[in-house]
Amino acid sequence: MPFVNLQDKLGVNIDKWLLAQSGEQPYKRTARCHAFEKEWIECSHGIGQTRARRECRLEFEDFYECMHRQKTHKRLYEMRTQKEKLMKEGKYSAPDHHTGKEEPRP
Amino acid sequence: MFGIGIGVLVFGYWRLFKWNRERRRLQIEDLEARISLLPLLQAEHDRRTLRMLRQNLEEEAKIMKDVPGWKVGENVFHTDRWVTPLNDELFNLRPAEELLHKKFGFQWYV
Repeated sequence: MPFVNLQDKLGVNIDKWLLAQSGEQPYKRTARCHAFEKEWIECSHGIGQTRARRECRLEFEDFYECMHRQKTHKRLYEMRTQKEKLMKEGKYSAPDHHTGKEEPRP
Repeated sequence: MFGIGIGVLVFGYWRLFKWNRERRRLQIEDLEARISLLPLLQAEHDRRTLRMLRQNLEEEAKIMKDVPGWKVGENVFHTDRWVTPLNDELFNLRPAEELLHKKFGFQWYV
């Protein structure tokens, strides 16, 4: 019942702690996407859903990217395939530190 | 005879509990040593991360030279903040064995 804020009336916190990653966490450990989620929530708080979709699109996309990393993985995949293609054609040879022959440093 | 057996048992338990408490004290000492060295370990880890990112950037510039429409070192996020790189990103151009070591190397048992 969203219009009857029962949890605040009774002063209990049954599931509000579950709602956002940026909330209070045990042992104060932060989520990986804490900053992105906080930015998005702060941007889209108070304005309605329609306005939030329009105005907070960048923050939301950053948050989504942090969670799912689709763009990152796609980029890495393209780099890897291009590298393998070049290596097969013989135009590129990987430097030492990328073939496991790097000398161990601290 | 039961008395002797139970006596031996109880004596064994008492020794175990004492030694376990001693082990707990020793473990706390190890953890305290690690806490005091944390700045050094964090700094080393950060330097390593930055070094790997720099190497990846240079290799990326070489590899993707001829690919049309590719911006080297393009940030996938719209923000300027520092985003901790994923293990996948750091070990992308290295042999897959190194990524496996990074991910699962601390497990001593299967």
